[in-house]
Amino acid sequence: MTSDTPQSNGNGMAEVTLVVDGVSKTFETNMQKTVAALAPVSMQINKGEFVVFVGPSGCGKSTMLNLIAGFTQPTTGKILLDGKEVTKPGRDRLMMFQEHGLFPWLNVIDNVCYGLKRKLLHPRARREKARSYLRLMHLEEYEKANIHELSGGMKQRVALARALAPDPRLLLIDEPFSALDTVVRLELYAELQRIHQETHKTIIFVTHEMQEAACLGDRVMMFSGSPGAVVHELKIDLPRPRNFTDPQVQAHAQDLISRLQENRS
Amino acid sequence: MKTATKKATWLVVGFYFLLFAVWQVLASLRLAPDYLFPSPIQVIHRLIELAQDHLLWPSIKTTLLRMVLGFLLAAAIGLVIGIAMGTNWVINRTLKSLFLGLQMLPTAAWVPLSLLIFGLRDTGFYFVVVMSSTSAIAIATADGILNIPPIYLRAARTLGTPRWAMYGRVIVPGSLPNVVSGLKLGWTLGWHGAVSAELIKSSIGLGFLLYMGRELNDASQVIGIMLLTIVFGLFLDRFMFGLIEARIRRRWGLTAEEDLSA
Ligand SMILES: Nc1ncnc2c1ncn2[C@@H]1O[C@H](COP(=O)(O)OP(=O)(O)OP(=O)(O)O)[C@@H](O)[C@H]1O
Ligand SMILES: [Mg+2]
Repeated sequence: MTSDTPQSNGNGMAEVTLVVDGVSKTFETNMQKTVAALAPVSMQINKGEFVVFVGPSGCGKSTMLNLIAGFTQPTTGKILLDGKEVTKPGRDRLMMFQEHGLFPWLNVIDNVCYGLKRKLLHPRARREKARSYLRLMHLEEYEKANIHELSGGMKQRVALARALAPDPRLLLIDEPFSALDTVVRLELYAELQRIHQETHKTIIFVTHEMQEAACLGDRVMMFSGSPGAVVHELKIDLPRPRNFTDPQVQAHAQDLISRLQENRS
Repeated sequence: MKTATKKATWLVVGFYFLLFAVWQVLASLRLAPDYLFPSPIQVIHRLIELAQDHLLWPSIKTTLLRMVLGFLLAAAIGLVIGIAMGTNWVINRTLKSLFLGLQMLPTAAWVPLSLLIFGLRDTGFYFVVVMSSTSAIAIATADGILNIPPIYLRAARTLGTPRWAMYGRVIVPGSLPNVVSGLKLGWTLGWHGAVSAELIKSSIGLGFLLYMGRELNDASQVIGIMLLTIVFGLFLDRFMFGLIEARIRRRWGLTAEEDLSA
Protein backbone atom coordinates (compact mmCIF):
# COMPACT_ATOMS: atom_id res chain seq x y z
CA MET A 1 0.00 0.00 0.00
CA THR A 2 1.00 3.58 -0.35
CA SER A 3 0.12 4.62 3.14
CA ASP A 4 3.68 5.57 4.01
CA THR A 5 3.68 8.40 1.53
CA PRO A 6 2.54 11.69 3.02
CA GLN A 7 -0.99 12.65 2.11
CA SER A 8 -2.94 15.80 2.50
CA ASN A 9 -5.64 15.90 5.07
CA GLY A 10 -7.13 19.20 3.99
CA ASN A 11 -5.23 21.72 6.11
CA GLY A 12 -1.59 21.43 5.19
CA MET A 13 0.47 18.28 4.91
CA ALA A 14 0.13 15.50 7.43
CA GLU A 15 1.51 12.01 7.48
CA VAL A 16 -1.04 9.23 7.47
CA THR A 17 -0.18 6.58 10.03
CA LEU A 18 -3.26 4.36 10.24
CA VAL A 19 -5.28 3.19 7.27
CA VAL A 20 -8.50 1.26 7.77
CA ASP A 21 -9.55 -0.09 4.41
CA GLY A 22 -13.06 -1.52 4.01
CA VAL A 23 -12.97 -3.28 7.35
CA SER A 24 -16.07 -5.15 8.50
CA LYS A 25 -16.60 -7.62 11.30
CA THR A 26 -19.09 -10.41 11.71
CA PHE A 27 -19.17 -12.48 14.90
CA GLU A 28 -20.15 -16.11 15.03
CA THR A 29 -22.25 -16.70 18.11
CA ASN A 30 -23.01 -19.95 19.87
CA MET A 31 -26.07 -21.14 18.02
CA GLN A 32 -24.70 -20.82 14.47
CA LYS A 33 -26.07 -17.31 14.36
CA THR A 34 -23.94 -14.49 13.07
CA VAL A 35 -23.93 -10.92 14.30
CA ALA A 36 -22.79 -8.21 11.92
CA ALA A 37 -21.10 -5.80 14.32
CA LEU A 38 -19.43 -3.54 11.80
CA ALA A 39 -20.31 -2.70 8.20
CA PRO A 40 -17.32 -1.99 5.93
CA VAL A 41 -15.58 1.07 7.37
CA SER A 42 -12.71 3.02 5.87
CA MET A 43 -10.74 5.79 7.48
CA GLN A 44 -7.30 7.35 7.64
CA ILE A 45 -5.74 8.73 10.75
CA ASN A 46 -2.81 11.11 10.69
CA LYS A 47 0.27 11.02 12.80
CA GLY A 48 -0.24 12.97 16.02
CA GLU A 49 -3.99 13.23 15.52
CA PHE A 50 -6.39 12.87 18.45
CA VAL A 51 -9.42 11.03 17.07
CA VAL A 52 -12.54 10.32 19.10
CA PHE A 53 -15.09 7.61 18.28
CA VAL A 54 -18.59 8.33 19.56
CA GLY A 55 -21.95 6.70 19.06
CA PRO A 56 -24.70 4.81 20.82
CA SER A 57 -24.11 1.58 22.65
CA GLY A 58 -23.56 -1.47 20.48
CA CYS A 59 -22.60 0.35 17.28
CA GLY A 60 -19.19 -1.27 17.02
CA LYS A 61 -16.79 1.25 18.55
CA SER A 62 -15.06 -1.27 20.79
CA THR A 63 -15.09 -3.77 17.94
CA MET A 64 -13.25 -1.28 15.74
CA LEU A 65 -10.73 -0.59 18.48
CA ASN A 66 -10.15 -4.31 19.07
CA LEU A 67 -9.52 -4.78 15.37
CA ILE A 68 -6.98 -1.95 15.31
CA ALA A 69 -5.35 -3.37 18.43
CA GLY A 70 -5.13 -6.74 16.70
CA PHE A 71 -7.16 -8.68 19.27
CA THR A 72 -9.54 -9.82 16.53
CA GLN A 73 -9.18 -10.13 12.78
CA PRO A 74 -11.42 -8.27 10.31
CA THR A 75 -13.94 -10.34 8.35
CA THR A 76 -13.21 -8.25 5.28
CA GLY A 77 -10.73 -5.49 4.49
CA LYS A 78 -7.47 -4.70 6.18
CA ILE A 79 -5.78 -2.39 8.64
CA LEU A 80 -2.35 -0.92 8.05
CA LEU A 81 -0.16 0.86 10.55
CA ASP A 82 2.65 2.75 8.82
CA GLY A 83 2.17 0.52 5.81
CA LYS A 84 2.37 -2.75 7.75
CA GLU A 85 -0.69 -4.94 8.05
CA VAL A 86 -1.98 -5.45 11.59
CA THR A 87 -2.30 -9.16 12.42
CA LYS A 88 -1.78 -9.43 16.17
CA PRO A 89 -1.56 -7.25 19.28
CA GLY A 90 1.68 -5.43 19.87
CA ARG A 91 3.18 -2.66 21.90
CA ASP A 92 3.18 -0.28 18.92
CA ARG A 93 -0.63 -0.05 19.35
CA LEU A 94 -1.23 0.00 23.07
CA MET A 95 -4.75 -0.32 24.34
CA MET A 96 -6.11 1.14 27.54
CA PHE A 97 -9.29 -0.42 28.86
CA GLN A 98 -12.33 0.73 30.75
CA GLU A 99 -11.30 -1.52 33.62
CA HIS A 100 -7.72 -0.44 34.24
CA GLY A 101 -6.32 -3.97 33.81
CA LEU A 102 -3.34 -3.34 36.09
CA PHE A 103 -1.75 -6.53 37.41
CA PRO A 104 -2.49 -6.93 41.14
CA TRP A 105 0.57 -9.15 41.63
CA LEU A 106 2.88 -6.28 40.67
CA ASN A 107 3.32 -2.97 42.44
CA VAL A 108 2.84 0.35 40.67
CA ILE A 109 6.30 0.76 39.18
CA ASP A 110 6.55 -2.88 38.10
CA ASN A 111 3.25 -2.46 36.30
CA VAL A 112 4.64 0.52 34.42
CA CYS A 113 7.86 -1.40 33.68
CA TYR A 114 5.92 -4.36 32.33
CA GLY A 115 5.63 -3.21 28.73
CA LEU A 116 9.23 -2.04 28.38
CA LYS A 117 11.34 -4.34 26.26
CA ARG A 118 13.40 -6.62 28.46
CA LYS A 119 16.02 -7.41 25.86
CA LEU A 120 17.04 -3.91 25.00
CA LEU A 121 16.96 -2.17 28.34
CA HIS A 122 18.98 -2.71 31.46
CA PRO A 123 16.69 -3.25 34.49
CA ARG A 124 17.86 0.00 35.99
CA ALA A 125 17.16 1.89 32.77
CA ARG A 126 13.69 0.34 32.64
CA ARG A 127 12.91 1.50 36.16
CA GLU A 128 14.24 4.96 35.41
CA LYS A 129 12.03 5.20 32.36
CA ALA A 130 8.99 3.91 34.23
CA ARG A 131 9.68 6.42 36.98
CA SER A 132 9.74 9.29 34.49
CA TYR A 133 6.26 8.32 33.29
CA LEU A 134 5.01 8.08 36.85
CA ARG A 135 6.38 11.57 37.39
CA LEU A 136 4.50 12.71 34.29
CA MET A 137 1.33 11.44 35.97
CA HIS A 138 2.26 12.96 39.37
CA LEU A 139 2.45 9.53 40.94
CA GLU A 140 6.13 9.26 41.79
CA GLU A 141 5.38 8.88 45.50
CA TYR A 142 3.29 5.80 44.84
CA GLU A 143 5.79 3.70 42.91
CA LYS A 144 5.99 1.04 45.64
CA ALA A 145 2.25 0.97 46.36
CA ASN A 146 0.06 -2.03 45.66
CA ILE A 147 -2.63 -1.54 43.05
CA HIS A 148 -5.57 -2.00 45.40
CA GLU A 149 -4.28 0.84 47.57
CA LEU A 150 -4.92 3.41 44.81
CA SER A 151 -8.09 5.33 44.06
CA GLY A 152 -9.93 4.76 40.78
CA GLY A 153 -8.47 7.90 39.20
CA MET A 154 -4.95 6.99 40.31
CA LYS A 155 -5.35 3.52 38.83
CA GLN A 156 -6.33 5.00 35.48
CA ARG A 157 -3.31 7.32 35.64
CA VAL A 158 -1.02 4.34 36.33
CA ALA A 159 -2.67 2.52 33.43
CA LEU A 160 -2.01 5.56 31.23
CA ALA A 161 1.63 5.65 32.37
CA ARG A 162 1.92 1.94 31.62
CA ALA A 163 0.48 2.46 28.16
CA LEU A 164 2.74 5.44 27.40
CA ALA A 165 6.01 3.97 28.68
CA PRO A 166 6.70 1.66 25.71
CA ASP A 167 6.30 4.70 23.44
CA PRO A 168 3.56 3.22 21.21
CA ARG A 169 2.87 4.73 17.82
CA LEU A 170 -0.83 4.54 18.51
CA LEU A 171 -2.67 4.79 21.79
CA LEU A 172 -6.12 3.16 21.85
CA ILE A 173 -8.33 4.21 24.72
CA ASP A 174 -11.75 2.64 25.34
CA GLU A 175 -13.98 4.65 27.71
CA PRO A 176 -11.40 4.78 30.46
CA PHE A 177 -13.04 7.48 32.54
CA SER A 178 -16.69 6.46 32.58
CA ALA A 179 -16.48 5.05 36.11
CA LEU A 180 -14.80 8.11 37.61
CA ASP A 181 -16.24 11.13 39.34
CA THR A 182 -16.47 14.49 37.59
CA VAL A 183 -13.55 16.23 39.30
CA VAL A 184 -11.15 13.38 38.60
CA ARG A 185 -12.39 13.20 35.04
CA LEU A 186 -11.77 16.90 34.43
CA GLU A 187 -8.26 16.44 35.79
CA LEU A 188 -7.64 13.53 33.47
CA TYR A 189 -8.93 15.45 30.43
CA ALA A 190 -6.34 18.13 31.14
CA GLU A 191 -3.69 15.47 31.74
CA LEU A 192 -4.46 13.66 28.52
CA GLN A 193 -4.36 16.86 26.47
CA ARG A 194 -1.07 17.86 28.05
CA ILE A 195 0.43 14.46 27.25
CA HIS A 196 -0.88 14.61 23.72
CA GLN A 197 0.75 18.00 23.24
CA GLU A 198 4.03 16.95 24.83
CA THR A 199 4.42 13.59 23.14
CA HIS A 200 2.51 14.15 19.87
CA LYS A 201 1.07 10.68 20.17
CA THR A 202 -1.60 9.48 17.83
CA ILE A 203 -4.60 8.71 19.98
CA ILE A 204 -7.94 7.02 19.31
CA PHE A 205 -10.36 7.57 22.14
CA VAL A 206 -13.79 5.96 22.53
CA THR A 207 -16.56 7.59 24.53
CA HIS A 208 -20.31 7.95 24.91
CA GLU A 209 -19.99 11.52 26.14
CA MET A 210 -20.29 14.22 23.48
CA GLN A 211 -18.71 16.86 25.74
CA GLU A 212 -15.77 14.59 26.32
CA ALA A 213 -15.45 14.09 22.57
CA ALA A 214 -15.66 17.81 21.81
CA CYS A 215 -13.16 18.62 24.53
CA LEU A 216 -10.54 16.10 23.49
CA GLY A 217 -10.79 15.41 19.78
CA ASP A 218 -9.10 16.98 16.77
CA ARG A 219 -11.62 14.94 14.85
CA VAL A 220 -14.76 13.16 16.03
CA MET A 221 -16.09 10.15 14.13
CA MET A 222 -19.66 9.22 14.87
CA PHE A 223 -20.60 5.57 14.60
CA SER A 224 -24.18 4.47 14.34
CA GLY A 225 -26.47 1.70 13.26
CA SER A 226 -26.36 -2.04 13.37
CA PRO A 227 -24.07 -3.13 11.81
CA GLY A 228 -22.14 -0.04 12.82
CA ALA A 229 -20.71 2.42 10.35
CA VAL A 230 -19.22 5.91 10.45
CA VAL A 231 -22.17 8.22 9.80
CA HIS A 232 -20.64 11.60 10.51
CA GLU A 233 -17.29 13.28 10.92
CA LEU A 234 -16.59 16.55 12.70
CA LYS A 235 -13.29 18.42 12.79
CA ILE A 236 -12.74 20.49 15.89
CA ASP A 237 -10.25 23.29 15.37
CA LEU A 238 -10.14 24.80 18.83
CA PRO A 239 -6.93 25.85 20.54
CA ARG A 240 -5.53 23.57 23.27
CA PRO A 241 -5.57 23.03 26.13
CA ARG A 242 -9.35 23.09 25.97
CA ASN A 243 -11.55 23.54 28.94
CA PHE A 244 -14.43 21.11 29.34
CA THR A 245 -16.83 23.96 30.16
CA ASP A 246 -15.64 26.28 27.39
CA PRO A 247 -18.70 27.58 25.45
CA GLN A 248 -17.14 26.68 22.10
CA VAL A 249 -16.55 23.11 23.31
CA GLN A 250 -20.15 23.03 24.50
CA ALA A 251 -21.35 24.28 21.11
CA HIS A 252 -19.52 21.46 19.31
CA ALA A 253 -20.92 18.97 21.81
CA GLN A 254 -24.42 20.29 21.10
CA ASP A 255 -23.81 19.90 17.39
CA LEU A 256 -22.76 16.27 17.95
CA ILE A 257 -25.81 15.57 20.07
CA SER A 258 -28.20 16.86 17.41
CA ARG A 259 -26.38 14.78 14.78
CA LEU A 260 -26.80 11.76 16.98
CA GLN A 261 -30.52 12.39 17.30
CA GLU A 262 -30.84 12.80 13.51
CA ASN A 263 -29.22 9.43 13.03
CA ARG A 264 -31.48 7.82 15.56
CA SER A 265 -34.70 8.82 13.92
CA MET B 1 -3.91 -4.08 63.22
CA LYS B 2 -0.99 -5.21 65.42
CA THR B 3 -3.05 -5.20 68.61
CA ALA B 4 -5.85 -7.07 66.84
CA THR B 5 -3.47 -9.93 65.91
CA LYS B 6 -2.10 -10.00 69.44
CA LYS B 7 -5.59 -10.17 70.83
CA ALA B 8 -6.45 -13.02 68.46
CA THR B 9 -3.33 -14.93 69.53
CA TRP B 10 -4.23 -14.64 73.19
CA LEU B 11 -7.76 -15.68 72.42
CA VAL B 12 -6.51 -18.88 70.78
CA VAL B 13 -4.02 -19.62 73.56
CA GLY B 14 -6.76 -19.09 76.15
CA PHE B 15 -9.12 -21.38 74.25
CA TYR B 16 -6.65 -24.28 74.25
CA PHE B 17 -5.77 -23.71 77.88
CA LEU B 18 -9.46 -23.95 78.72
CA LEU B 19 -9.87 -27.04 76.56
CA PHE B 20 -7.05 -28.85 78.37
CA ALA B 21 -8.35 -27.71 81.74
CA VAL B 22 -11.81 -29.14 80.99
CA TRP B 23 -10.22 -32.36 79.77
CA GLN B 24 -8.13 -32.65 82.94
CA VAL B 25 -11.16 -32.04 85.13
CA LEU B 26 -13.27 -34.60 83.26
CA ALA B 27 -10.46 -37.16 83.52
CA SER B 28 -10.02 -36.62 87.26
CA LEU B 29 -13.75 -37.28 87.78
CA ARG B 30 -12.96 -40.91 86.79
CA LEU B 31 -16.11 -41.33 84.74
CA ALA B 32 -14.27 -43.93 82.68
CA PRO B 33 -11.21 -46.04 83.52
CA ASP B 34 -8.02 -44.18 82.64
CA TYR B 35 -6.82 -46.75 80.12
CA LEU B 36 -9.82 -45.64 78.06
CA PHE B 37 -9.95 -41.97 78.93
CA PRO B 38 -6.54 -40.74 80.05
CA SER B 39 -5.89 -37.27 81.39
CA PRO B 40 -3.72 -34.80 79.45
CA ILE B 41 -0.96 -35.28 81.99
CA GLN B 42 -0.94 -39.02 81.35
CA VAL B 43 -0.83 -38.38 77.61
CA ILE B 44 2.13 -36.04 77.92
CA HIS B 45 3.81 -38.52 80.23
CA ARG B 46 3.43 -41.27 77.64
CA LEU B 47 4.85 -39.05 74.92
CA ILE B 48 7.89 -38.33 77.07
CA GLU B 49 8.38 -42.06 77.60
CA LEU B 50 8.20 -42.66 73.87
CA ALA B 51 10.77 -39.93 73.34
CA GLN B 52 13.06 -41.49 75.95
CA ASP B 53 12.77 -44.84 74.16
CA HIS B 54 14.00 -43.12 70.99
CA LEU B 55 10.77 -43.91 69.22
CA LEU B 56 9.15 -40.51 68.98
CA TRP B 57 11.59 -38.23 67.20
CA PRO B 58 12.70 -40.77 64.54
CA SER B 59 9.03 -41.40 63.80
CA ILE B 60 8.20 -37.73 63.42
CA LYS B 61 11.24 -37.25 61.24
CA THR B 62 10.38 -40.21 59.04
CA THR B 63 6.79 -39.16 58.54
CA LEU B 64 7.78 -35.58 57.77
CA LEU B 65 10.45 -36.64 55.32
CA ARG B 66 8.14 -39.03 53.51
CA MET B 67 5.50 -36.36 53.46
CA VAL B 68 7.72 -33.55 52.20
CA LEU B 69 9.21 -35.63 49.40
CA GLY B 70 5.87 -37.09 48.41
CA PHE B 71 4.25 -33.70 48.53
CA LEU B 72 6.94 -32.08 46.37
CA LEU B 73 6.40 -34.79 43.81
CA ALA B 74 2.62 -34.37 44.01
CA ALA B 75 2.94 -30.58 43.68
CA ALA B 76 5.17 -30.87 40.61
CA ILE B 77 2.82 -33.33 38.91
CA GLY B 78 -0.32 -31.48 40.01
CA LEU B 79 0.94 -28.10 38.79
CA VAL B 80 1.98 -29.40 35.39
CA ILE B 81 -1.31 -31.23 34.87
CA GLY B 82 -3.24 -28.25 36.27
CA ILE B 83 -1.55 -25.83 33.87
CA ALA B 84 -2.26 -28.18 30.98
CA MET B 85 -5.90 -28.39 32.07
CA GLY B 86 -6.18 -24.65 32.54
CA THR B 87 -4.82 -23.84 29.11
CA ASN B 88 -6.32 -26.64 27.04
CA TRP B 89 -10.05 -27.08 26.81
CA VAL B 90 -9.94 -30.75 25.79
CA ILE B 91 -7.57 -31.76 28.59
CA ASN B 92 -9.68 -29.88 31.10
CA ARG B 93 -12.95 -31.46 30.05
CA THR B 94 -11.54 -34.98 30.15
CA LEU B 95 -9.27 -34.87 33.19
CA LYS B 96 -11.46 -32.75 35.42
CA SER B 97 -14.18 -35.36 35.81
CA LEU B 98 -11.54 -38.02 36.39
CA PHE B 99 -9.87 -36.01 39.14
CA LEU B 100 -13.15 -35.05 40.76
CA GLY B 101 -13.96 -38.75 40.81
CA LEU B 102 -10.62 -39.66 42.35
CA GLN B 103 -11.20 -37.08 45.05
CA MET B 104 -14.23 -39.07 46.14
CA LEU B 105 -11.88 -41.77 47.38
CA PRO B 106 -10.82 -41.51 51.00
CA THR B 107 -7.04 -41.18 51.01
CA ALA B 108 -6.70 -44.43 52.99
CA ALA B 109 -8.31 -46.27 50.08
CA TRP B 110 -5.03 -45.95 48.19
CA VAL B 111 -3.16 -48.02 50.80
CA PRO B 112 -4.26 -51.54 49.76
CA LEU B 113 -3.34 -50.84 46.14
CA SER B 114 -0.02 -49.43 47.24
CA LEU B 115 0.65 -52.64 49.20
CA LEU B 116 -0.22 -54.76 46.18
CA ILE B 117 2.02 -52.82 43.84
CA PHE B 118 4.93 -51.84 46.04
CA GLY B 119 4.74 -54.27 48.97
CA LEU B 120 6.44 -52.84 52.00
CA ARG B 121 8.86 -50.69 50.03
CA ASP B 122 9.06 -46.98 50.85
CA THR B 123 7.99 -46.07 47.32
CA GLY B 124 4.50 -47.09 48.39
CA PHE B 125 4.26 -44.11 50.75
CA TYR B 126 5.10 -41.68 48.02
CA PHE B 127 2.50 -43.38 45.86
CA VAL B 128 -0.18 -42.87 48.50
CA VAL B 129 0.79 -39.24 49.14
CA VAL B 130 0.90 -38.42 45.44
CA MET B 131 -2.43 -40.09 44.73
CA SER B 132 -4.01 -38.36 47.73
CA SER B 133 -2.98 -34.82 46.92
CA THR B 134 -2.31 -34.50 43.19
CA SER B 135 -5.92 -34.18 42.07
CA ALA B 136 -6.70 -31.38 44.50
CA ILE B 137 -3.64 -29.44 43.36
CA ALA B 138 -4.37 -30.00 39.67
CA ILE B 139 -8.01 -28.97 39.96
CA ALA B 140 -7.22 -25.84 41.96
CA THR B 141 -4.50 -24.84 39.50
CA ALA B 142 -6.78 -25.35 36.51
CA ASP B 143 -9.58 -23.36 38.16
CA GLY B 144 -7.12 -20.65 39.09
CA ILE B 145 -6.02 -20.29 35.50
CA LEU B 146 -9.54 -20.42 34.08
CA ASN B 147 -10.64 -17.74 36.53
CA ILE B 148 -7.93 -15.25 35.61
CA PRO B 149 -9.87 -12.17 34.49
CA PRO B 150 -9.52 -11.96 30.68
CA ILE B 151 -8.57 -8.31 31.02
CA TYR B 152 -5.14 -9.34 32.38
CA LEU B 153 -4.51 -11.55 29.37
CA ARG B 154 -5.60 -8.78 27.02
CA ALA B 155 -3.48 -6.20 28.82
CA ALA B 156 -0.46 -8.49 28.67
CA ARG B 157 -0.93 -9.09 24.96
CA THR B 158 -1.29 -5.43 24.08
CA LEU B 159 1.84 -4.76 26.14
CA GLY B 160 3.72 -7.06 23.80
CA THR B 161 3.98 -10.25 25.84
CA PRO B 162 5.00 -13.12 23.55
CA ARG B 163 2.89 -16.25 23.75
CA TRP B 164 5.62 -18.32 25.46
CA ALA B 165 6.10 -15.68 28.15
CA MET B 166 2.41 -15.58 29.09
CA TYR B 167 2.87 -18.56 31.40
CA GLY B 168 5.58 -16.99 33.52
CA ARG B 169 4.36 -13.41 33.47
CA VAL B 170 0.58 -13.69 33.66
CA ILE B 171 -0.84 -17.19 33.96
CA VAL B 172 1.23 -18.33 36.93
CA PRO B 173 1.13 -15.09 38.95
CA GLY B 174 -2.51 -14.49 38.03
CA SER B 175 -3.62 -17.88 39.32
CA LEU B 176 -1.38 -17.87 42.38
CA PRO B 177 -4.05 -17.26 45.06
CA ASN B 178 -5.98 -20.32 43.89
CA VAL B 179 -2.85 -22.38 43.39
CA VAL B 180 -1.70 -21.74 46.95
CA SER B 181 -5.12 -22.76 48.28
CA GLY B 182 -4.84 -25.92 46.20
CA LEU B 183 -1.39 -26.66 47.58
CA LYS B 184 -2.70 -26.20 51.10
CA LEU B 185 -5.52 -28.63 50.50
CA GLY B 186 -3.09 -31.00 48.79
CA TRP B 187 -0.80 -30.85 51.81
CA THR B 188 -3.65 -31.76 54.17
CA LEU B 189 -4.84 -34.63 52.00
CA GLY B 190 -1.30 -35.91 51.53
CA TRP B 191 -0.78 -35.81 55.29
CA HIS B 192 -3.91 -37.92 55.73
CA GLY B 193 -2.58 -40.36 53.15
CA ALA B 194 0.89 -40.62 54.67
CA VAL B 195 -0.38 -41.35 58.18
CA SER B 196 -2.98 -43.81 56.88
CA ALA B 197 -0.31 -45.70 54.96
CA GLU B 198 1.91 -45.90 58.03
CA LEU B 199 -0.95 -47.36 60.04
CA ILE B 200 -0.89 -50.41 57.87
CA LYS B 201 2.52 -50.89 56.36
CA SER B 202 5.29 -49.36 58.39
CA SER B 203 7.60 -50.10 61.28
CA ILE B 204 8.25 -46.44 61.98
CA GLY B 205 6.40 -43.15 61.67
CA LEU B 206 3.51 -41.40 63.39
CA GLY B 207 0.98 -43.78 61.86
CA PHE B 208 2.96 -46.74 63.13
CA LEU B 209 3.03 -45.36 66.69
CA LEU B 210 -0.71 -44.91 66.46
CA TYR B 211 -1.10 -48.55 65.43
CA MET B 212 1.30 -49.68 68.15
CA GLY B 213 -0.72 -47.77 70.76
CA ARG B 214 -3.80 -49.72 69.75
CA GLU B 215 -1.91 -53.02 69.91
CA LEU B 216 -0.71 -52.14 73.42
CA ASN B 217 -4.20 -51.05 74.42
CA ASP B 218 -2.66 -47.72 75.37
CA ALA B 219 -5.14 -44.88 74.93
CA SER B 220 -2.57 -42.32 76.15
CA GLN B 221 -0.29 -43.19 73.26
CA VAL B 222 -3.10 -43.18 70.69
CA ILE B 223 -4.38 -39.80 71.80
CA GLY B 224 -0.88 -38.37 72.16
CA ILE B 225 0.12 -39.37 68.63
CA MET B 226 -3.17 -38.06 67.27
CA LEU B 227 -2.37 -34.72 68.87
CA LEU B 228 1.12 -34.72 67.40
CA THR B 229 -0.27 -35.56 63.97
CA ILE B 230 -2.54 -32.55 64.20
CA VAL B 231 0.16 -30.26 65.55
CA PHE B 232 2.80 -31.09 62.95
CA GLY B 233 0.39 -31.08 60.02
CA LEU B 234 -1.05 -27.76 61.08
CA PHE B 235 2.29 -26.23 61.94
CA LEU B 236 3.70 -26.86 58.47
CA ASP B 237 0.46 -25.80 56.86
CA ARG B 238 0.63 -22.48 58.70
CA PHE B 239 4.30 -21.89 58.12
CA MET B 240 4.73 -23.10 54.58
CA PHE B 241 1.50 -21.86 53.06
CA GLY B 242 -0.02 -19.56 55.63
CA LEU B 243 2.76 -17.01 55.26
CA ILE B 244 2.83 -17.18 51.47
CA GLU B 245 -0.94 -16.92 51.35
CA ALA B 246 -1.00 -13.93 53.68
CA ARG B 247 1.60 -12.18 51.53
CA ILE B 248 -0.34 -12.75 48.34
CA ARG B 249 -3.61 -11.69 49.92
CA ARG B 250 -2.02 -8.51 51.19
CA ARG B 251 -0.54 -7.63 47.81
CA TRP B 252 -3.75 -8.35 45.92
CA GLY B 253 -5.82 -6.50 48.49
CA LEU B 254 -7.86 -9.58 49.33
CA THR B 255 -7.60 -9.00 53.08
CA ALA B 256 -10.57 -6.71 53.27
CA GLU B 257 -11.57 -5.23 56.59
CA GLU B 258 -14.85 -7.08 56.43
CA ASP B 259 -13.05 -10.42 56.07
CA LEU B 260 -15.07 -12.71 58.31
CA SER B 261 -12.34 -15.26 58.96
CA ALA B 262 -9.92 -12.63 60.28
N1 LIG C 1 -17.26 -11.34 20.87
C1 LIG C 1 -18.48 -11.04 20.37
N2 LIG C 1 -19.31 -12.02 19.99
C2 LIG C 1 -20.52 -11.72 19.47
N3 LIG C 1 -20.99 -10.49 19.30
C3 LIG C 1 -20.22 -9.46 19.67
C4 LIG C 1 -18.91 -9.68 20.24
N4 LIG C 1 -18.36 -8.48 20.51
C5 LIG C 1 -19.29 -7.56 20.16
N5 LIG C 1 -20.39 -8.14 19.64
C6 LIG C 1 -21.57 -7.44 19.12
O1 LIG C 1 -21.15 -6.45 18.24
C7 LIG C 1 -21.90 -5.27 18.39
C8 LIG C 1 -20.96 -4.09 18.63
O2 LIG C 1 -20.36 -4.23 19.90
P1 LIG C 1 -19.30 -3.21 20.48
O3 LIG C 1 -18.80 -3.75 21.75
O4 LIG C 1 -18.29 -2.92 19.44
O5 LIG C 1 -20.18 -1.92 20.73
P2 LIG C 1 -19.76 -0.53 21.36
O6 LIG C 1 -20.01 0.50 20.34
O7 LIG C 1 -18.37 -0.58 21.91
O8 LIG C 1 -20.81 -0.37 22.52
P3 LIG C 1 -20.61 0.31 23.97
O9 LIG C 1 -20.68 1.77 23.74
O10 LIG C 1 -21.79 -0.19 24.73
O11 LIG C 1 -19.30 -0.15 24.52
C9 LIG C 1 -22.87 -5.52 19.51
O12 LIG C 1 -24.13 -5.82 18.93
C10 LIG C 1 -22.32 -6.72 20.22
O13 LIG C 1 -23.36 -7.51 20.72
MG1 LIG D 1 -17.52 -0.49 23.93
